[in-house]
Amino acid sequence: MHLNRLRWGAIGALVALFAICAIGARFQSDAAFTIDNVHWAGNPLPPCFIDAHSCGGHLLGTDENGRDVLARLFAGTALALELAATNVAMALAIGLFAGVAASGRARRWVAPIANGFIAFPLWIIAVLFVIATTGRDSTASSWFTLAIGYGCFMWPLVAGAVLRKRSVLEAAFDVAVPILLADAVVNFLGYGVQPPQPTLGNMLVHGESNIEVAPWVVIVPTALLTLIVFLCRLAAIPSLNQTPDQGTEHPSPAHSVTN
Amino acid sequence: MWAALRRSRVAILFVSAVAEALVATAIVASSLTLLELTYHRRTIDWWFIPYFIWHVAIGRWGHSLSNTEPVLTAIVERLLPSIELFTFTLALVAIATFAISAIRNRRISNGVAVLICAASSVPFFVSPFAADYVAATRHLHSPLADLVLPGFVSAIALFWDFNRSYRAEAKRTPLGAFVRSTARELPRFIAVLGIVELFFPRPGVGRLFHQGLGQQDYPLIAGAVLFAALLSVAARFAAGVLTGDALEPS
Repeated sequence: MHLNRLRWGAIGALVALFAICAIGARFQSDAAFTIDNVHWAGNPLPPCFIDAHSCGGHLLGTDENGRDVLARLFAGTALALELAATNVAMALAIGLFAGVAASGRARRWVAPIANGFIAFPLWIIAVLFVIATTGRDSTASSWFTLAIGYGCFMWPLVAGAVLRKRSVLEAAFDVAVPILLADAVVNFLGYGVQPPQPTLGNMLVHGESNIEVAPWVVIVPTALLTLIVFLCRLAAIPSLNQTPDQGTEHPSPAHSVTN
Repeated sequence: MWAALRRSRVAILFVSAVAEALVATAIVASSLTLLELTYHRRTIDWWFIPYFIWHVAIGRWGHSLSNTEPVLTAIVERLLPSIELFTFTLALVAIATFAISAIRNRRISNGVAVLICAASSVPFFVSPFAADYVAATRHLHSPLADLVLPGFVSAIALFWDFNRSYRAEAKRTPLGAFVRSTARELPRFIAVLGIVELFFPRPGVGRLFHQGLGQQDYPLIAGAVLFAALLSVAARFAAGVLTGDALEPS
């Protein structure tokens, strides 16, 4: 398996997924929010590959409220990837600046600040950040908060990559994984973007209560989130077998102060 | 004396750790200032930040709003179940990492590595839910199962990142690399175990945090967040002292 081809394949697959979801979300936006009054009779409709007769034309079935799962998946994934892209851009902007600044004498000042930021588990500080800035009732402002919030806490990873002379592209995908997972957790816990706007996290939590009658509502978003995280991880690794970073070539802050 | 302090690596690491702790505490204090601004619509009270840092430093972490218990006492009382789960998970991750490291000398196939990567990519908040569902339907819940099941689930979620951190320290001795990667990955461990405790009946700090969220107990939430951050700072300091070199941000 050629690693470089694998990595570029993963990046290509991510871009294609983003494009498909963005286009799907654009053209299926109504179906993500409206109930199928024609076919829905109180129970979730199964996907067409399980029961082609009673699926009512919903390829991946409907959720517990009779809304199309595929349309909600498009909208939720597009939102998650959009948010991750915004945050990665913010982390790159701050991290590159800090990393370049830290290459010189400012290293001894930047390193403790960066370590202070990455000491927080991301979803936990994100929840505190959301509560502090928006409460639980504002969709637009909480999206905005999250769109800048994760990036504020992820910049040290980019700065670290600059200091270690690692590829910035790898660092960007390294940053994207915790952001995607933290965003899903925050939505899963009921913070962040609020219903009826679909997100991968709130689709899971709503499907959880109906898992016995409609397991596809949980399985499909889980599989998609797993795929996205997997592709980001493949895109982030320089080599699957070899050490990604053979130690630091640079002196640590302790050394630089001593020297 | 100042020159001697400058030469002492431990002193430098300590000063660095204090600075990191100050930054972390200031971040939590800023969040609380924003909270005050959001809910009470007053002006920002900048003096609250040094006031908060001072109170944290002298051990006054405030009282829980739900049961008026001191926040620090509530956290320390719930620490043992969390430490148990952390130790078990770390042991599993370490065994898997050392095993892979031993095999790596003979170059495991990329296909196996891809499979491991895929297993670790399952969202860490879904697998504990699935494991809890299986345990409940098959009546597997018991004190032992409630340690083993979440431990395995957490270890699978954490293995890939831990293994990468471990490999990044390949030039060090296995023990040194293990200590450093544990310190580096501690925030991820806390994040995963914090969610796992939501599903499994383990009365740890993670469950306390979720209770705080449910009751809008802001001193408790802020205390738990700060505790997690200070724990990570302390772990990085300890790893720096033990291995003789500071951990870089990564």
